[in-house]
Amino acid sequence: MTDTHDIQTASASGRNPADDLALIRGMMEAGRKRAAVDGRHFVLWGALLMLSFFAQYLSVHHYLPPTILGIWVPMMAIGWGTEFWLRRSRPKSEACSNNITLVGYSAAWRVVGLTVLIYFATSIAMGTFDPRTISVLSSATIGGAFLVTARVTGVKWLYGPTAGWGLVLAFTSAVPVYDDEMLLLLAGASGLLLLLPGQLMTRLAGHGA
Amino acid sequence: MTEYDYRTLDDVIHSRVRLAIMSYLMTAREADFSALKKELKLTDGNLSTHLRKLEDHAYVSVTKGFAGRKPQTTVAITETGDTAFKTYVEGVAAMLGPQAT
Repeated sequence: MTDTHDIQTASASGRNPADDLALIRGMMEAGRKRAAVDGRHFVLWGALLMLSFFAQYLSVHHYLPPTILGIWVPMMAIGWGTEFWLRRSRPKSEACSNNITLVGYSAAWRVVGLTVLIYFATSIAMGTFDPRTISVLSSATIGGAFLVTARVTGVKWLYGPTAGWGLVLAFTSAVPVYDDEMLLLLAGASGLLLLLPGQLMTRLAGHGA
Repeated sequence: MTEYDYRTLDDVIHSRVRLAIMSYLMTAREADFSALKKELKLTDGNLSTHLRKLEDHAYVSVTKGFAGRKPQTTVAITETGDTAFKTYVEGVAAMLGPQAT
């Protein structure tokens, strides 16, 4: 072996396979955490949801025209459009499909998007849209996705947003009267439990730092 | 433990630094240069040297771009690198025997 470069404390003469496996395990664990800390998606959807819920609140109070589609359809178009752009602008990682961490939490977040999108589209089309139902569905799936992300990545602080969405789910399910103040609650929850964790993840990942 | 014969292992990955880079990228899949440098506690030059060797063997791809106005270099593992790393780990584990698992 001619390579004399070492990483910190290791010396070539002291190497053994157990040390190598320990190094591999340690670095894979660090990489697994890194995989979770690209928070741009959270920032995107957190900001869009917060603005949309607030716009809906203003609409209910006649500060904006009374519309649901006029707020949520552009929001979804911007969200999915940006997601598409983010995906295209990323360098190609050819072997992502066999990475259980990425596959695990990507699938969980895809479930969130599809569940909310399908409910929204079908309920609007059939005239059965119910604000409480979509709030319950959103908070349940987002909380679940945070739980999956925390589990597969081992990033412990993600259990915080998981618990937060659990509380939102409990409250939106149990509150006797689902009034327009709930829109403010959901706007706040989107900012605090989606946008803020996303910003923290982005900072940890070193994006723009 | 069976005899640990390094000669049977992939020389490109066998360096401690490159082994650390590949292990990290196996789970992260990609990382920007500064994050990798911070994680491995290496200098720019040292990391660049090792990345160039990995890139020469098509184990990683290095893409230069911008994050906002700031230049950003992104390193990602390739399919070739993925396969080579798995083969390397299997080799090390085989040398350790059943205690590795």
